[in-house]
Amino acid sequence: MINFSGLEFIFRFLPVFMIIYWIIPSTYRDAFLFVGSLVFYASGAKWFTLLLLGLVFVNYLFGELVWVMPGRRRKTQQRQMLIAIVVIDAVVLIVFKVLALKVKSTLLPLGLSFYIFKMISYQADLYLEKMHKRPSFMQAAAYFTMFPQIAQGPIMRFTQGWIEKPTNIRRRTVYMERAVSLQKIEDGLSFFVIGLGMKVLIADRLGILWNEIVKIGFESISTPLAWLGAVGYSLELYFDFWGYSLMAGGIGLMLGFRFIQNFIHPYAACGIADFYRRWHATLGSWFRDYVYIPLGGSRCSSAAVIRNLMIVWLLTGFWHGGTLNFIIWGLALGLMIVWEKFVVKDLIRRVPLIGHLHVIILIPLTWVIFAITDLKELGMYFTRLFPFFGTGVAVNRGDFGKYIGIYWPFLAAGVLLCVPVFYNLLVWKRKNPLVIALLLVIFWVSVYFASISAGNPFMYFSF
Amino acid sequence: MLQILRRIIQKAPLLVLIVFISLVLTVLALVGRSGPYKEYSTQHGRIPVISVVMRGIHDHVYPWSEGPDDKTQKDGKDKKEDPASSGKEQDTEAADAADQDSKDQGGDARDQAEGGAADKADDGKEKEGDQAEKPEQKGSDPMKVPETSCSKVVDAKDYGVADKSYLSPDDTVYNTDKEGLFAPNGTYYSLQEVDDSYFSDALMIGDSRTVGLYEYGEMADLTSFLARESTTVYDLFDDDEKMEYTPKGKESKERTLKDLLSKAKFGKIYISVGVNELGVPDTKDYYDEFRKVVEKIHKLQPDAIIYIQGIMHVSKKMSSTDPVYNNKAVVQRNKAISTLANGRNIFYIDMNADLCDANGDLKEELTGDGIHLKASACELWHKFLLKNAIVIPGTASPDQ
Repeated sequence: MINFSGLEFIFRFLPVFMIIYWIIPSTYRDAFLFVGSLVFYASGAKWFTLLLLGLVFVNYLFGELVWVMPGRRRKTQQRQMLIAIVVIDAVVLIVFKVLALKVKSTLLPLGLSFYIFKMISYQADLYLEKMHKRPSFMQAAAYFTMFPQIAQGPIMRFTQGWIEKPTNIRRRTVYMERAVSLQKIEDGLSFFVIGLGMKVLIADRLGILWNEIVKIGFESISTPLAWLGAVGYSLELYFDFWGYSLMAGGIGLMLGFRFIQNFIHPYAACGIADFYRRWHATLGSWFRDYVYIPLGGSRCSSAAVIRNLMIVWLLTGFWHGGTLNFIIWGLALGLMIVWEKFVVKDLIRRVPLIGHLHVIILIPLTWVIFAITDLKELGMYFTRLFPFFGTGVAVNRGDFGKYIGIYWPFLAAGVLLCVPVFYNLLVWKRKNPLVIALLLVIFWVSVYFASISAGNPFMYFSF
Repeated sequence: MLQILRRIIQKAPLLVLIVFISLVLTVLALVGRSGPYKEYSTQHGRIPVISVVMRGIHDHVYPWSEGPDDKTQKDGKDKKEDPASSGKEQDTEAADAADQDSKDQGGDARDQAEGGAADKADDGKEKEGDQAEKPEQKGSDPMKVPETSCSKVVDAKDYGVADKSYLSPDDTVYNTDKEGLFAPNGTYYSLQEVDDSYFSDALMIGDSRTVGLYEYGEMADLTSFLARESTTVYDLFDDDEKMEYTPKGKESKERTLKDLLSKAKFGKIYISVGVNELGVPDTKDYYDEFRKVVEKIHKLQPDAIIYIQGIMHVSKKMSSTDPVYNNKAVVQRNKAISTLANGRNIFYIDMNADLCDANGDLKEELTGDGIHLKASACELWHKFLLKNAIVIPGTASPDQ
């Protein structure tokens, strides 16, 4: 049920939840969102729900203390409170990450890194007085736990969901209400279907290609197949995550929230830094607002900027996983961004093609580092990508032809969707009967694939 | 009311269409519960009923199809539903064939095998037989099969993850064929080393693992392959199951096993399936189907040596976490199919001893995904086949 592309979610949890959510009075919606999200979380994370509940209470209490802090030394005490709760949250995250790494991978609670980041942003926004109104317990609890975002983000800000900027109507401050409408439901559903199609019809299919390469063994793939694998894996990751984010955003819209954009055509970016403003944008902006800018951001000496960038990227690497390859991945990206910012900045401005080539060539290579946790295996994959340092073992020269022959439709669809115009057209023309028909087909074909491959031990795997 | 509905349709056509189709499919699935979708009954409740219609489409079962009784049962699902009836039918058939053979050959076989060496070998076999849920003994004569004709099945460590429903009960009895299912005479043969020319009249039948052997085992120019990813013993003689046939060193084309064996002649036939079938509950049922396949192959190629290849074990990482794809299940299946060998023209060969560690887990360095041999390790399989071959004196040499 915890999986958006699973049938139990699509045909059981989501419709039941939505119907109740729409018919109850709006004052109860936050409470219902909180309870429903706990049920959703418990179905996948079991006992870790208690940890989530504990964190919800502790974070709400600290937030309250910051809000009501009286007296002259208010700011200092608020600051101490903020530091205390951020340390608590960070320690919980680190402890579970280390446990998962050193003891057993199942010890990492589902979505922990996402909801901890939401909690930290909540505390920081309270401290920075970005909230114009005191959050209620139900609002905070619903924000921390809301099911569309709990497993894989996006990392929405509290102010994006609840307390929007106040507007003055007849001299009275009015806070924007979260409204549910048929229009929002239809739009949300459209985004959900597009995301579902990306996940099931592109990402899951391309996932099989990567499995095939793992199966062969990296030492035995031809160089063209190694590059095909890097491109295939990059596209798989992109459509898996973008698809998920669209589904999450679509559900959010159905609930009355605004659409949270997490991917803004990253592969159309001009340069690595630009790529990461568009890729998992809510994580990037989180690091920008709560780590990079507090450290001084770009408004300091070059050395300090380089230090800040490397800290951010080291943390980003660690956030994605504890093994050394993720640290290398983060550092490599940090170095690339430093290189772009300080060495080739003017060149890219004059010849944007160089920035685009950075994205198209370097990013898939960084995803290879991301994909392979064993460093020896990772080294092997790179010697196949760049076959100057050694030859492969038992390489079948026909492997590229075989796999491109099988996977070209998915690769082609993926590459097309990397070009912004196709996706934008789909969203822009979503009221067109032809697009509605297309979305309907995408939905049912996705459900078909999900039906025959999920929860069916007979189709469990095909060897 | 009508106006509200019209407004909803205008404002949210996609929502209306999805909800409407969902309702129709749900009704169809519910109505067909006792009809075409009867065999999916075990899944009712566990998964949304709508997916039954989708799975039906995948299996070519539609709301207007007739009930499951009229449908040809062919895939794993059917087996789960009705293992008893298909098993029974097969037992009778197989028992008839076995009886016929023991009448013809049994006496000879026993006479021939009375020797000291064979007796010694027998002890080992008996021990293995005990583990293999005590195959039925015929009469008081012990089986005399040279030890080398059948490699030992490496026992796997029990990680406690095996799903019981995929295993047969401990007291399941397999009809042993060591006494001679369609055996030509009473002579038993031992495994020996051969060179690559041995494979020139052989056919390798199998699933993705065999596809790996074809692509990476340096055997494509030595022998013929008929393989397809995800094929199973239940599919081998299915008329719809077209597999990739690559005659020695030539271009591949799609053929069914039945068609190929009816038209071409092979001296040796290697069968390597079993990993996809682990998801089909019940080893007994798998064994029965395997027996049926061996009989059919023999009928079409009476002079061929049939090699039943033991299912290769999976890695520890896979075996210790997967309730279906684990070595406990593999060992149980191997013990069952090994009893089909007769030591005369049906042989059981098992390369696990060469590829696994002391616990019986496939060595991690030989596999990328825990299930398949890496390309660089396929040569080990080729070498194993070279070292474990049967040469029957008097049969035509493969090059002729």
